[in-house]
Amino acid sequence: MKRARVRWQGRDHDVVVEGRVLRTADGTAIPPAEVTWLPPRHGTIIALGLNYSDHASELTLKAPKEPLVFIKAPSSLTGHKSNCCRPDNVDFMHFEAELVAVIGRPARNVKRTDAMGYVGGYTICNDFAVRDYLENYYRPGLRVKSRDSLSPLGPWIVDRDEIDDPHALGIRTFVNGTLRQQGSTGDMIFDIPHLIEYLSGIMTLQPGDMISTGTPSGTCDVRPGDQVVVEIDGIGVLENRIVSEQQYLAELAA
Amino acid sequence: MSGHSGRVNRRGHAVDVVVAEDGTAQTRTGERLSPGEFRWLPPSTGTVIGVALNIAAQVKGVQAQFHSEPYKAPPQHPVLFIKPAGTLCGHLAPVQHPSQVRSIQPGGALAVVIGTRAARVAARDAWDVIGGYTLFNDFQLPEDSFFRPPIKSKCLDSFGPMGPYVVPWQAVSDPRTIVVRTRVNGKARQETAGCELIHDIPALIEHITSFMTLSAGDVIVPAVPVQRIDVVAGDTVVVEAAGIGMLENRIVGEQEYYAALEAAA
Repeated sequence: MKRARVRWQGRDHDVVVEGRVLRTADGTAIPPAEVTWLPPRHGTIIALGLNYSDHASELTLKAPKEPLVFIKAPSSLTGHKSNCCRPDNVDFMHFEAELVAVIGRPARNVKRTDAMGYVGGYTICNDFAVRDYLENYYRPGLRVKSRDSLSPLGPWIVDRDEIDDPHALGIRTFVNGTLRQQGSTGDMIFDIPHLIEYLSGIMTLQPGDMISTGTPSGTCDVRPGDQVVVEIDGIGVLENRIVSEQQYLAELAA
Repeated sequence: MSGHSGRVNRRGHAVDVVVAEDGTAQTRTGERLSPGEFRWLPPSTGTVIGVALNIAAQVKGVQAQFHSEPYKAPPQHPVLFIKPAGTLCGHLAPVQHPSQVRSIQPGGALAVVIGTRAARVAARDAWDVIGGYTLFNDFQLPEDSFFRPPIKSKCLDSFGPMGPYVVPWQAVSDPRTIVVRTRVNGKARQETAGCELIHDIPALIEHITSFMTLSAGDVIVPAVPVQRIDVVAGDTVVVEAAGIGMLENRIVGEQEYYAALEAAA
């Protein structure tokens, strides 16, 4: 099943995607055109840097010997179709298409061979970064990776059993319809079982926690007005639009 | 003045409480709780943002390296990190000493609890978004690098005791005068004064809310110690500040910590 969270007629609803409608727990059918998409979960968000060797070399960085992990604040999350704010006066803000493994049950000290049993499902994150703000302290910092509106997540969570092999999925980003980033989740340096073993050895992962597994090469600068679409085979399509800071603030105030 | 607000676990349920001057806790409906019938929870459930390298006198001791690799230049902006939900625990909760390390390091600090939704707040307005203050203990594994996010050192289960309760802002005349003391097994070991900050509380609120919206219940820990002391299983760590309270936690071995969690579940 595909599970989403949407705002409809002033209320938030957990829905299941059934063909062309969204079905609430009480059976109401909601037309997708009428909803505001919300991030499907709000657990701890753990993201990976440099987890595809082609992306690491694109940034002229060596691939890490152990996972490069950072945590994103839930305030940065936004949903499918929402606007993403590009700060004024920056030179380089790029998208990062990422497969997200959503944890399904508490995981502590889990071995790689057992790890997939702790995954509840998958979703997509566009883990935007503003490179102008990188500093070499706790890099990448919150100012780069934890900004309002710059962690679109969704549109939904696909149950684990619907994906035969999460390490054989095509992952692509289109900017204004042009293919800009293309890769396969098979090219992760540290795959999902490895990441669950590593992270659950540090902290207990809880249901709803999310591991955003890093991005392949092909990131590029995006500007106000750009439509950015991330697509992962079998999971879905996450679409967002870049707006200027001025427009973003005006819409918030309205 | 409203009372101090806390959260406790009572018979398996999280309950909001008001804590009186004499330390007694009562529910919002006025029911008084006796000391043995509850456990303290962290008084706030929002995002906890810590600020590293922010105590001027202590940064002097480590800044010689900041012009070399991998840093190349001293930090221009506050150095922020997140303590995820799994780290948070309350007053008197056990803190684990993982079996693979010799010691762990407490980091006694004042914590600022946000009282309202706060986006793009100027420093001069920053005091208006503060709801109150509590204490935080930023436990970590010993680390000597500030280059990568401190997940392996700071994000272990139980490494973020907070509490015991939130003191409303009206009861704190000037947080800059607050001295936070850390005692281990009764002995004074560390002291931090609020006036020593490189980025003060209003500057931090302006910086953070310039890119991320804070909500009521989010917490900023403006100054975790740079220099650290070591503690081991069996030690009791107390963080205290006049007018804010006393946050006490005992260090237990990793196995004991997780066995107790399982027994309670």
